[in-house]
Amino acid sequence: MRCRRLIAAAASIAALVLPHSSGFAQAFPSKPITVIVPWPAGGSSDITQRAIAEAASKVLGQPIVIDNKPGASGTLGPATMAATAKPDGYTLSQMPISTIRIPQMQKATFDPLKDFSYIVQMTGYTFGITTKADGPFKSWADVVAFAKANPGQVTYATPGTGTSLHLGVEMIAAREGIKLTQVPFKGGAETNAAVLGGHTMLQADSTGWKPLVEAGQIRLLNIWTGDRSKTWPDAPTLKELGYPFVLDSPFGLAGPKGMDPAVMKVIHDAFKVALEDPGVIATMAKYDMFPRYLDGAAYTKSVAELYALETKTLTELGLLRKE
Amino acid sequence: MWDAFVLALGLVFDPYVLWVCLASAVFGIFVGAMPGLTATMATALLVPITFFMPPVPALGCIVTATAMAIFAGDIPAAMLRIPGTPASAAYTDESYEMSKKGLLDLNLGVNLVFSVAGGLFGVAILIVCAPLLAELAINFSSFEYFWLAALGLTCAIFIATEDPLKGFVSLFLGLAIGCIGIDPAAGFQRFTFGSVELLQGISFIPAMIGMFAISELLRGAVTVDQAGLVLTQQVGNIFRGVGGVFRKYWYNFLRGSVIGTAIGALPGAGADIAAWISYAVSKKFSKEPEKFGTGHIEGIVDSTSANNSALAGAWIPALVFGIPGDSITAIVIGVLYMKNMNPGPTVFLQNPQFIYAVFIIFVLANLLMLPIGWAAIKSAKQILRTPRNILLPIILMFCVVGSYAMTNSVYGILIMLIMGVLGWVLEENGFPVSPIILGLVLGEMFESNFMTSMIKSDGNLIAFFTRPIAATLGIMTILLWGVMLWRMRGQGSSRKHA
Repeated sequence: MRCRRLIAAAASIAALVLPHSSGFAQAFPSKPITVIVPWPAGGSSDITQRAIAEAASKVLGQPIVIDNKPGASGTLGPATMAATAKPDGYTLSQMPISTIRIPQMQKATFDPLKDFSYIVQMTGYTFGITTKADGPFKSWADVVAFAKANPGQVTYATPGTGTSLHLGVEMIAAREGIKLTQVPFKGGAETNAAVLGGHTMLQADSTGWKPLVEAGQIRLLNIWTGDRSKTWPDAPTLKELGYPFVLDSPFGLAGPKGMDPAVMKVIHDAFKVALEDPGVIATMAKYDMFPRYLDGAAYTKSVAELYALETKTLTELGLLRKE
Repeated sequence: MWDAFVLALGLVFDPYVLWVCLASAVFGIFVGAMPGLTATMATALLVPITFFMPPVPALGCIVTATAMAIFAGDIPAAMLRIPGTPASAAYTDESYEMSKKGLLDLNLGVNLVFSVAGGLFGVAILIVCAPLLAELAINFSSFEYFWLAALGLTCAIFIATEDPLKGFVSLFLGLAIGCIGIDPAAGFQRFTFGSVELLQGISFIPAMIGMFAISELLRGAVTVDQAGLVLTQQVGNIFRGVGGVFRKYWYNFLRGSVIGTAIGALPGAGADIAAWISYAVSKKFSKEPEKFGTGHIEGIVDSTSANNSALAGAWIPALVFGIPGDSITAIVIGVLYMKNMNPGPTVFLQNPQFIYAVFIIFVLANLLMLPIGWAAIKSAKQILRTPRNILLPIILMFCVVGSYAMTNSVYGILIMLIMGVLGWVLEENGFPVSPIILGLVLGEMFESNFMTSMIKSDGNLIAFFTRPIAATLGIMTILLWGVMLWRMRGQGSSRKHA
């Protein structure tokens, strides 16, 4: 999958060698742009990013090459970019919320507030907690009641320690004064198998569970967006259940620190158009995702606010990095 | 059902779809035969192209390309000791030994025919009992996966031909190398020394290329001035003798295909693990285990059938539950979404014609493998005519490109070179490299499932034996170790007496 960048490299060599007559100072972009997706190919983060990139490349007039670089809860890609890429606008990365959180939980090679040029916020996820349809839990209240009677017995599958799903459930548990046991996996496919096979009692994940919920094999107990989902109007939001938070892990696009504002504007404008593209909106809707556009300045501000919020949450849960 | 099937036939036997399949077949052969480019990568490369296709050709090109790639990985493995994909790694040494004995034709013929047959077997299982098998596969929890990985690691005992102790050393070396990076349970950084590159761990593909190919090149470089070719014989009629092999080892074919399909259907294991385990099973139950490792066809029959059947097996949980059986179907599920065919239980009801179309394409792809695979082998033989002092640098170049492609950085090339030198030194001193590769393949599966199990059981070790399948696998593993250690003890004392 990573050899797509090889093609990009070949194409960029060709771009350097061939049309040199057209002048030295070409306008940005004059060669293909690489966007790092810090997740494996084929998941919701990857497919939606591909759709957005496809639409943006039409505006930019240059292909956008998706480079899947999964690992380290989605921070490996941005970390690699921060450490190795030039801030010339030809290497960008999708910025999952874990880039804000992980450095506060453990030692990292980058500082989310200093090492990136935030260009545009694109979208966020729909999260929810599910359980096996023929299992004992019919509603979230059942889970809470069972957990109160049996501390630590309720297991829940997440796509990784330190993900929003992990923190979200712990925040709920802290409010209820119950103890739930996290079983971390690597991604949605594995948590689907875990809840379906009855290996964990609950699953906390983004909409990868959609087909199984639609088929009636697993039951959606709650949803973490601000409002109820149009697709599953029966699932209550966390707010309705008495937990005053919305978790949707917005993510956007950034480059390495020190980018030229003019280049950032070109990229921003193209992605803004892409986020309004009907095809892009339709692709996102398949995963119950919606465009959540913010421009560069607002996105940078939002990152700083989220960072402070994460510090507070991690402190409360006792997960903040200990020096 | 019949209507849907006829509809599916119409969807598949459309000139556009057939052209797409043919082109993907050639693409798949190329990617599979290139060291460093895997079947998973072939799929990922096809994803952007499938955006512009209707559902059936989109799935057709992925199915065809991956089937071809898994077979094509056997060609460089046999000719040059470079597994084209990880799925060929288990029997690369065996194939290469056969080539050195002048049995390259037979080896490639067997690899081709049994890849086709194994693939068709897997498809048959996929068609007949997908829902049932998926139900079983989903019951595999971390306890079962832990024991499966333990059993797989035990295979190192059988792979190491001469000295089991050296096999253990290699295996533990592989497991230790696999520890580098981020630990799978808590995200703790291990042996990374603050390096961003080491965070992603020791990339498996460059390590594999280094261990097998670079070490072989180093050995060749020592004697490069000797006249002659790497392998002097020509590829003749590759199908000669395959019939005899089939008559003699039909049972191995069936066993390999069953193991392959079953392991493929498990969401946590794919074609590479299927090949390793079926190779080890083959040796364990062979009447002539002493011939393994010397260029013996028996284990190859098992494992080359297994990796192609695993490919079809991986579609079982993917279609039934939308849970991928391997890294290829993980990408396929994304493509299915894009095409509005939400994988999972509903797809059989809403879009049965697409499911049948996938089945038909699977059969078609495997049949197509015979002529295209034959042509690929024929053209690959030209490589063997190249003088050795020209061929070796070219192979090195391909290895470098393949390793670079995996990480997009010099990091991959560095891993390849370091592991190559390490592999050469080890082999010169009688340590087998296959167990290192096995350690890298299974290390993370072993560890993460152990951690997951311990979390679930709250540290209670009895839980590893309370589930029936886990208990069976666990007792098998422990028995194997017990028998092996007992035998080694016997060997040790007899050595003293001698």
